[in-house]
Amino acid sequence: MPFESWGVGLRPAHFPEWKNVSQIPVLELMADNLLHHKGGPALWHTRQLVVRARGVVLHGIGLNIGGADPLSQSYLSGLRHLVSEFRPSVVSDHLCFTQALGVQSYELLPLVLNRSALEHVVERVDAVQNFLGCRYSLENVSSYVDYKESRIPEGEFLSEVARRTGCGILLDVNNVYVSAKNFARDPEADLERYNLESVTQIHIAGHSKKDDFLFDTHDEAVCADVWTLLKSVLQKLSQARGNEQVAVPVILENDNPDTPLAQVLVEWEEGKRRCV
Amino acid sequence: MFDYQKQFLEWLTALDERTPAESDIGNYLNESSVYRLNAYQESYLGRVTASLSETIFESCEHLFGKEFVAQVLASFFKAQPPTAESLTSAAEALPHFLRTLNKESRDALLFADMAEISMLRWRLLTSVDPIVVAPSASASLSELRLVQPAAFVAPSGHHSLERAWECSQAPHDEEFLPEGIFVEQRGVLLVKASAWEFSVVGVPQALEVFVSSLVEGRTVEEAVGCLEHEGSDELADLVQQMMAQLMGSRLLSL
Repeated sequence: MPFESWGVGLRPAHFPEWKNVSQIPVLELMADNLLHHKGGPALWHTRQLVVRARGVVLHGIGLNIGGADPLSQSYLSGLRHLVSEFRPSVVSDHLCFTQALGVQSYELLPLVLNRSALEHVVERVDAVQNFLGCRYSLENVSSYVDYKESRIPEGEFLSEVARRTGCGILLDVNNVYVSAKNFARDPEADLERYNLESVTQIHIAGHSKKDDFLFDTHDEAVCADVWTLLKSVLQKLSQARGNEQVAVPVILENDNPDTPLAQVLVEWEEGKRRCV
Repeated sequence: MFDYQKQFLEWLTALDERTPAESDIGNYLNESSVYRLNAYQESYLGRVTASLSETIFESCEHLFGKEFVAQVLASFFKAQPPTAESLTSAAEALPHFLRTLNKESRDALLFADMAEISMLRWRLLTSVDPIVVAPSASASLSELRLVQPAAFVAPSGHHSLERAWECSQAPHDEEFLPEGIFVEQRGVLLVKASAWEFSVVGVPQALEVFVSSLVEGRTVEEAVGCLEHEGSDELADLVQQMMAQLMGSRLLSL
């Protein structure tokens, strides 16, 4: 397993701490944190770090790929600008909707997954890839509710979108685990539904327990079960790709501003050891 | 096909005040998971309040308390569901909302003023970095259009962008500031002098008209013109000297 492709999400709270890190791993830039900055510290720090990093991937939350509202040209233009400046190896967002009738949620809301939603998402992914001029990847989200009208499991839905558009899949292992547990399914069985050939990037993160279900908070340590699931994914990826070295970026996400970078990096190192 | 998305947003932004089971979006969900809708609403409110408090309204939180700021933001977004892609842009109507909400509430009016100043500061920190001007172009006022004002408490002096930003993140308390730097409690003029640097100077009270003109969006030249218009030729000279000094310090750093 080439750990050079492992990395962490870049968070503003950690900017000063990165100064003391000699070898910067792959960094995942949050597109929405940079889109509306024309200058200033966030862009400055990001530019300083990117040149020292092993690689860069770009991740967004506001594209609204599954929504009915037209795709935002200003959002896409901003994204294209970031792609042009930072040259990320993967550009991604989520399989979800984030707005309706112009009202924003800033949340990753689950889609009804059926044939008409599939056609809708395929059409929009094509439009996004044409606009950006690069491959786009979509991430599976954590779900807490399920729709009566959903007919296609998320893994199959994403795999079909990938097959028809050529887009990639950002496989969030924690989200697979959370959604499976919330609906009493086996996470390993859910993983089987993804076409691993299309996986371009992997996310790993912590979750928390909320009442009687799991909630994707990104503010806790990654649990042992999720590390085990990641190990299983990496083994399957390796097999699916003919035992080639798997150079898919594996990004550890931690959105808790109170977690020091040093702690995130220790967890990241321990995680790598668990996956050997 | 997409009606459920509209219902979901209405539920999320608290326009639909019914319980999850009674809500319109509840009809689209399998019964066993309907109660979990609350988690989305809590996450939405938590996200909008935390994101804004951690970025723009940090000083408001120090002044009014975390709970008060969270309550105000929740009321604001309930009254005006956000439509801007950027959460920070969505908050731009907050001062107006606060001023019309309760004209008798001193805290609401003070918060409105603080919010406005905080947003001015945020716009400054995220605005286009000015192009560094060649030294030969230094002295004339027309080149000083690069100057952007901000009326927030900041350490006086000449700082790297990074240091000024770090200082602005600290609570406005002298013990948190780097040694040798003092907090100027009066109006200050913050000059974005080059791509990576700020200059910050305290402005004498007599120059209030000048600072106000800048805050209203006038260029330095126009703001000096306002002083001259009011018959304050001496003050206009003082401003010219001050600005030349500021721009001089920028040149030294090139």
